[in-house]
Amino acid sequence: MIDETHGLDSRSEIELYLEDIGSEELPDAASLSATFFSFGSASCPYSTASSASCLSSS
Amino acid sequence: MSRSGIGTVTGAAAAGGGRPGRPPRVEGLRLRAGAELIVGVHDQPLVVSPEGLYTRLMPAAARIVASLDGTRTAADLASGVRGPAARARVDALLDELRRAGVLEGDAPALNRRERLLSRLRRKAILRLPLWRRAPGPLTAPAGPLASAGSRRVLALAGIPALLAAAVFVLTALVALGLPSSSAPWPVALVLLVQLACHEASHAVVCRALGVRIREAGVGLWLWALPVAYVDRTDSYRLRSRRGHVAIALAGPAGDLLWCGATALVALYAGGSAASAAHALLVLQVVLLCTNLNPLLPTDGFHALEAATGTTNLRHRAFAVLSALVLRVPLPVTVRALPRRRRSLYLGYAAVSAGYTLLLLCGVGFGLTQVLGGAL
Repeated sequence: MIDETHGLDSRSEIELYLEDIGSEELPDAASLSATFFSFGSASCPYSTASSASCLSSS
Repeated sequence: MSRSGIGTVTGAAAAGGGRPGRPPRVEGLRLRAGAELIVGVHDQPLVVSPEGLYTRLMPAAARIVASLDGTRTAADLASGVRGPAARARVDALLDELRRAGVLEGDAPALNRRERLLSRLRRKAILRLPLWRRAPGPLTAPAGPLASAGSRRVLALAGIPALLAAAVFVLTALVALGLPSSSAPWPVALVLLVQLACHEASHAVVCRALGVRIREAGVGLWLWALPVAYVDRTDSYRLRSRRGHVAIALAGPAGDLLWCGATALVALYAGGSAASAAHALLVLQVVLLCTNLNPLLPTDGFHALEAATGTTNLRHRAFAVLSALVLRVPLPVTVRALPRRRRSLYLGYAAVSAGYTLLLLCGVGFGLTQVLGGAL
């Protein structure tokens, strides 16, 4: 019987045959915006083109 | 409490001190009050702790969790499981569920290595929340975006706008090349505003899809690399693959529109505004590419993960790498994957770890150069 709410098999009797039984903790999900390259380049006093050119100039 | 922790006979009965002639009272397994069993991302069964931690369940584990109504013991569950080491497998699952905070009872302690890995997983970002569950635009109903029809109209209007922005950006980069002058300081302010819009785009799409935002702020990824973030942990409840892709790509789509507008100024404004826009455009393109880089846990990676219908890809990949390097056992959920898939995960983790290491070295070197120049 399929539970309407969860779509999960909610049989009163459980019979599992050689199936893997496991769970996996999911990490907190965050949408990240990586700013290190852009702000690193923006703070560069000699060039805005790239971090590499900034470093070579300094 | 025993390792399995349940199915134990309560104190007096265990000691033989119950009333004579009455069977000992056996406590069954039960989910903690407030824990939920749901079907979530990619139609997978998930269990959510009262504190809001999400745990994915393999199908067999989901059937077991659905039966935890307080009437069954670990021995009862194990008796329904065929195959080798049934009781040990059931006990291992119950331990995982306790650690995840969804099952009543105390979880067994982790060893030092497991504690370290768990901490690295949980605390990868040092967070400074700037907004948290307070009334404001991020918690407001999505308004015009709430209906599917309006979202379709927005998508239809957005695609030509994004294409046009891409054309402007490419034209500006080809025509103007790289800037020779340094970026004026207001450029950093524009980038900050763009960053706020980027994160707000994720939040607005989340709200349109009914996903609660927990918090937003700035932080240090791996305690070293600055990032801005929106915590959309509750998007695990969203089943639609398309919805997850939309959440992930909302930020980069907004960035591309910003790039397009900046490119127009760089191409046609002239004077100091054009040169500042030119410098800004390069930084914006760098930001866009960084956010789409699938080797980092940023938007491009999340979109790819969602589009391929996988969950927790990065952690699984690093679990395979950790098993190889640190000799820790593979989690059951990863062990159950086909060997080829595990090899792919290992390859991804190795490349991503190498790239991140280079990045950290580069940032460290850059900081020493900047500090050295300042002194």
